[in-house]
Amino acid sequence: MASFFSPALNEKIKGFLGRYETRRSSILPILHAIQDENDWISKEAVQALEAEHGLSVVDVNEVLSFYTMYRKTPPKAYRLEVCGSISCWLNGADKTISTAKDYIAAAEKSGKPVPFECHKVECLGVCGYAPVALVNKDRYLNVTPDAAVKLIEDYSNKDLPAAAKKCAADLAAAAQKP
Amino acid sequence: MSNQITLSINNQSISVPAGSTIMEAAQKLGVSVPHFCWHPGLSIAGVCRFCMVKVEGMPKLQIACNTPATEGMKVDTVSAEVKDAHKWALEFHLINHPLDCPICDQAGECELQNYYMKVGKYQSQMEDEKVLKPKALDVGDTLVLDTERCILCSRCVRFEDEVTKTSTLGIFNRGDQATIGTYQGRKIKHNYSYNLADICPVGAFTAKDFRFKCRVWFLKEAKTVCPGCSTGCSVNLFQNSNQREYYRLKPRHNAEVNGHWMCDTGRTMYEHLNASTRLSAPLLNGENVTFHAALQAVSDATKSVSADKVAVVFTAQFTSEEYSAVLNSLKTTLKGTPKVFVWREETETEESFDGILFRGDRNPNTRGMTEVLKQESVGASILKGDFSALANAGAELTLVFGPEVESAYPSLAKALSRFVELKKSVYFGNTLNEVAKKFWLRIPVKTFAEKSGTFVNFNGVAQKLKANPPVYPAVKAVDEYFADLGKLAQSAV
Amino acid sequence: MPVMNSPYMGRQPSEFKILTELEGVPNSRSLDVYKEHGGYAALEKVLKGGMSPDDVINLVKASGLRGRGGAGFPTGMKWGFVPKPAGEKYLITNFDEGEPGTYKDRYIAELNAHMLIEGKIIAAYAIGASKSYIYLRGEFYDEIAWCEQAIKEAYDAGYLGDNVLGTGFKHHMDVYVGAGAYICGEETGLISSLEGKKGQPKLKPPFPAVKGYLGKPTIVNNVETLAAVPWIIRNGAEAYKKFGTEKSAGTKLFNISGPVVRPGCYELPLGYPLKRFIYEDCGGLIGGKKLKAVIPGGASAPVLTAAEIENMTMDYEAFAAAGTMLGSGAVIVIPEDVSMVHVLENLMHFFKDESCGQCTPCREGTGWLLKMSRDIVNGDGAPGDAEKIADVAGKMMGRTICTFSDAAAGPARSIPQKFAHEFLEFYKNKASAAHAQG
Repeated sequence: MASFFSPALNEKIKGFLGRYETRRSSILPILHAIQDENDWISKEAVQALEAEHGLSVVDVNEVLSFYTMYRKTPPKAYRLEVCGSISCWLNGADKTISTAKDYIAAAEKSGKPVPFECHKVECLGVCGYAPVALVNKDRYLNVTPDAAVKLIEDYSNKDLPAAAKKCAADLAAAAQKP
Repeated sequence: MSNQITLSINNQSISVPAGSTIMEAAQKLGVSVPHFCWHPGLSIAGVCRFCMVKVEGMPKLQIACNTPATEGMKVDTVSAEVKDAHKWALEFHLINHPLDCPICDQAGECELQNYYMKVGKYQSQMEDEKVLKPKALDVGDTLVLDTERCILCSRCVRFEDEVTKTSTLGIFNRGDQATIGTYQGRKIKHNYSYNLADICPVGAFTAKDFRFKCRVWFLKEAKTVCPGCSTGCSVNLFQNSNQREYYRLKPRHNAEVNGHWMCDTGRTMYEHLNASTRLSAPLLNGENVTFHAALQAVSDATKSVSADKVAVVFTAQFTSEEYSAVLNSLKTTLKGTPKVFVWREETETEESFDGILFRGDRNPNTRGMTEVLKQESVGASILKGDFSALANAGAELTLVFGPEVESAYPSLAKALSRFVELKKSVYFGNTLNEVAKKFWLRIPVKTFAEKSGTFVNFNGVAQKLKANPPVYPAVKAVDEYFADLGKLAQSAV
Repeated sequence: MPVMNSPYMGRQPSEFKILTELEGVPNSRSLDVYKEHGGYAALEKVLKGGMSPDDVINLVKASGLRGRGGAGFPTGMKWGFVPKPAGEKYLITNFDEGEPGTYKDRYIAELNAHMLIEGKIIAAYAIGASKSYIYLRGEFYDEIAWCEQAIKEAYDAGYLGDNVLGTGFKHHMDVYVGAGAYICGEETGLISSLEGKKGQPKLKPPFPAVKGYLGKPTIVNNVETLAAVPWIIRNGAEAYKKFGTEKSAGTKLFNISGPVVRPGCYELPLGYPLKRFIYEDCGGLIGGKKLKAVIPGGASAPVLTAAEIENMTMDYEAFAAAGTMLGSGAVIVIPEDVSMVHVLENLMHFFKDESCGQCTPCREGTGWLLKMSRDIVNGDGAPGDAEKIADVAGKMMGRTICTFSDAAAGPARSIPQKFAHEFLEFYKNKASAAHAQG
């Protein structure tokens, strides 16, 4: 019976399962690992964690639905997450977010979409250099509206990350299935 | 050698074992502290924040359920500050609670309603849109889940984790999006699911078989014993006394027998009580006769036969008083002891136990019956799938006392088809049963809900039934019939 | 990512060098550089210099070090709560740093995570823990890497393992990564998260020092608290008490945010004047704007008006006396052209988003507070609404499993109380809008 997870991912999962005092503790890092490879965490992944590794779907789903970093639906290749909490808000984060969102929407409308989604998130912990933003795992400071647009342009010109490519491939494969 | 401590609640003294909480002390004293999430049969959650009390010397109010009672502690549950805390705790619970009362089965036994009348009675200040969540979800054969009504007390989650150890329920999402549920529509599949509806303080978990059937204020409850197996859980049986119809059973706390719970099998023990399933009058050779005629037929049959030609077949579903009455009456009439058989279900595993409450012995009074047989010095042969002993007994009159709960006897039809082959077979039973029509004589009997008497459980605990107004007033219990038979015999003399 | 010499810093290096010793030092994150500046000498002193665990606890008690995460609880006393008999015990570093305005713990890791690690090993020795975790928030990708690297280096150098510095003391350290939940900064919420569950705080009693992670005695300390320990061990309690005030000893990493000329982390002694900090050290508000309000200790701290900070000093007692709190030492500056009603809405959004949802007053109350704030901002408010917000928040305070409700109540009560006049403007909008339509 083939595993739902790649061999490399299974190794990581097993590693986490043995790393902490209880197997349950491994749920958070395992979900990160799944997400790092597949770009999101599907229902099938959760069910496979139970079927193949004995982690209760209820336990996993509680964690999955509680913490905001886990993606439960397939995302765009790049997530521009801009902090909207008080310090960043005082430094104009709302404008950064609306500018970025408008840019992405306009690109979509013009027929040349960018592989980006933009979200407002809560405090990212570098408040003196606000607005703070993440593009996937890369952190940027003093992200003015112009800086945000530049980030979108720069990243859009790069090769897509491996996880995004895998996500697209997985979705295509799933669409093929009868 | 107990470690008792004494504290005072509202200036009343109470002694409790060391390690008790203020809530436990208040319960013992009979002081009601409002609460939702606390339940004596489950671990402490402390999430509803309703059971606030004032403890002298502690500046902030404390929750009674998780605060240890200490020697000399002074607790106040009625001060203005405490009452205000209760009022606001209730307000917070009602912020997003849907106004479902007109269509919610819980109305009339809803903790939110009850507490609102007790400690609320305020004008709500909430004017905004409420959070919406999924409603009327099918979570299994027995329950409907309304996640919007849920107050997130987590009793159901703890029940699943601690009592049935099935852990099917979780609370997903964060903040006011927190939602109770199973994973992706998985069903709750164990034999204790109705307890979830019981412990749910509101109408989040409701019973499917009770859904929209009857408003609870029309129901009267009687304290009785479940006849589903030899555990004999203490239960409350609910009857709509206007209609003489039964709707449900709920467990009643009994530390010695069932604790706080009962199983789902026991919940079905109201279905066979209602008129539509009941035999209302005796049948002699398939024809309706009067009760008097039926008893007369029995009386006549016992006159012309010797004791060793009479067979009595018991199932262990009757009260101890009924067994006594049958044996004593027959001994007197027959001037000897009839041949006694105990009919057990062929497929039963008598000793099996699910680890919680439900036992393989699907009869409520095996122990009581055994005790009576011993008292009357009567030996009995077991009939379990093999009826040859009875067939070879050469009986000319056979009295069969059939199981009240026919679902506990899946091989019933097979057994009955053997009994009807015997001469002059009499069947005492409560249901309309096609195979049983072939008996020479059928006499309807009262169900456990309609008679007084004693069941003795597997562990020797004797419990009393409570008699409700009978569905068919002319139908009697076995001991009542045999008392009548005794009078018939005397008057004949 | 700004490093010490980046143009963002633009400020003087800290004059006080307990935590910021390595500021401005090239390659500060190297273990060798750390050792050149006294790194791991404290650990040697403790393990090889004949100090018993109680000696360490007493020294830290004497120093007056208080928890730097926000609670300000005396650290030595907290360590003393751990029961003495042998058995598994855990030490956990709270590196969740999610309080809006706060970015000081990550600065310590940016300078050199070994400060934290050395402090941790010493603390573990003091309480008898053979295992410790650094719990980092998931969004701190760089900081996670720095900590993991430092731990690896510590193992290689013999500071961690079954036989630390050959003394027989056993200590293992690992990193645990969160996944986006501010409530995991609450010590028992953090423990729940470490156990692989939702980060929901636990009922107290029992207290973590007695029954914490997996039911074992557990101490949770903030990064900055532990990072100060090596210096205290090396230099003694009296040297630490030379800084700060009588009741708030030592230095603190203050961070400032909002529109100021020179934002950043500043190591200053406790008791430093707040106004001087804002206007001298941080260069005042950008564009010379007037100050309207200050949130002195992170988003949970009750707000202070500009007038109130006139003679305010930055220590636990002074802020408490003013009805607010030092908290994480995160000073948030609000200029005159920002509406406090909008500030309230922003803060209520944070608390509503981050409520774990476990207990009713907080779960329902934070949602309600946001709805009410939003109504006012949108012109749907009526006179009395601001007072209602303060009232509801007051009914949430002190009634919950953890202090999150109290945190939400900080701004929810202080802003309506101190800026009532600003709300009137919003109410008028509704009346005039209706009037215009009618």
